[in-house]
Amino acid sequence: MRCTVLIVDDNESLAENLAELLEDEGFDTRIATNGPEALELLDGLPSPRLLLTDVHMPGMNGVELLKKASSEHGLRAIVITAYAHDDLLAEAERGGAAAVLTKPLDLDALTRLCTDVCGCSE
Amino acid sequence: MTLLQEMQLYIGFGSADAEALAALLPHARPHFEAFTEAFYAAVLSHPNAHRAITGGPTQVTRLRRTLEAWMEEGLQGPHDEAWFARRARIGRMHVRISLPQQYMFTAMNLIRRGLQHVVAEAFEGEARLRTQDAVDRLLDLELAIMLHTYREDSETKMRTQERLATIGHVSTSIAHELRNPLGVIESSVYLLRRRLAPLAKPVAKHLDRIEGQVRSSANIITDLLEMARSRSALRVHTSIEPLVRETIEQMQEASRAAQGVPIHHEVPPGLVAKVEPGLLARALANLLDNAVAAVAAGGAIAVRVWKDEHGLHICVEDEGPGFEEAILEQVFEPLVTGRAKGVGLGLALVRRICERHGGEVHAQNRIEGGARVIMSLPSGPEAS
Repeated sequence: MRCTVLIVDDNESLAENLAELLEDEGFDTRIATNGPEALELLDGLPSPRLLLTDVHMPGMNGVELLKKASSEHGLRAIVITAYAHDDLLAEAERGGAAAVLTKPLDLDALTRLCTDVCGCSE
Repeated sequence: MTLLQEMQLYIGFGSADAEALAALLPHARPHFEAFTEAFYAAVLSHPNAHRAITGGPTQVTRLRRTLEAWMEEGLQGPHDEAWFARRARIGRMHVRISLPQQYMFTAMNLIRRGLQHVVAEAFEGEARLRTQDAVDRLLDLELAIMLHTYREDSETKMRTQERLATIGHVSTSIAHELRNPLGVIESSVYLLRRRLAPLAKPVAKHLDRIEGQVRSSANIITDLLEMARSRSALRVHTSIEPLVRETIEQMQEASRAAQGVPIHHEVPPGLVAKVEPGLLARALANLLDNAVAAVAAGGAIAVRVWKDEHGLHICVEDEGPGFEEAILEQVFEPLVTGRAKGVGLGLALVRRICERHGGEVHAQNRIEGGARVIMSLPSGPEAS
């Protein structure tokens, strides 16, 4: 069963690159550029699925999205941030993030992580 | 009214004092050497004051000459603006070598006492009183000038701090924003490698180049963001040899410039210290980065590590041209650089990292040529 990764980043180019990379590795992907759009997409998203979200986005931030997605949809999530703020990272972990990655991203590590998290979700 | 005139007026220093001091000079001069002796014995007996004098016996000999000339000029006069300017320059040197002012005060009092002894022996009656007053006023004036230079320095430091705080706010948000486009470039290169495989040599060369440059941009951003953080180091017991070896290896892997450079390291086997390993590796990488740039025209680099009762010491030496003397005192200030390229963050971050460990860092030029930087980190709260 292919795992679907919902990629959320307000930088569309980065989101598309991540999608291309993950599709190479055998994942299905969807892209959203903000939180509300992501939540809408989640409704129709087949399992197994995984949320890969940036933290800093206008409107709803990644941590808020993560909390909603994990409480309402039981979704596993990987959080990406350009800001290595300790308190925010701690909040993401408390909010149920399976992992928190900081930019610059190690792309090999990211694909391995997606495989691991998808493998043990739902 | 000039600052000197204002100080003289406040202290009540006038031409009568200048005359009395000039009359004292021939009596006092034979004692200058003994005063100087006592002065530096006092300074050197305080560990904190001693630390400010890094040049060893040669520097002390030079400083003693300066002090003798200083006493000569103090008594001789004329106590004019040029005299004031020379005084302030000496004061600024004390500030620059970070001689704590309380030691300067107590040491100055030795000179005051010494001169008063001479007055008591050489003069009697009215002349003795007049000369005693003149010595006190002169030394008060000297202290006022010293204090002025220290205040001047702390004001400059405060202005720099404010400026940096503003720059800091702006640049950290820019730094964060830059991580996004860099992330796009990085992931696009990653994908290009896959799409174009097997890579023709010239294509691979350019992809390597883009990746290398993206990595150095990312490093600048990381340095900048680390500079802005203020939490103290999260110290854990760390094996130092692997940390040093891996930092050197990563450096040689990532930077083409470092590949041909012999980098020796000498770390006592099994040495463990309480440090934040990520931060220490970052500081060492920055020092190595500078050293590699310095030996571009040839030469080797050596990393030596040792531990003593003061803590852990990490010394990086190179055989390059050394630091420019003019900026040697300021190489750890942010935005100061001796390199044509570079923003002047690398060494500033090294100092920041040392400070976050409660330690310090010093730069010097080696007598045999090349630069030497020593990071000293005190042992953590519990013995390690």
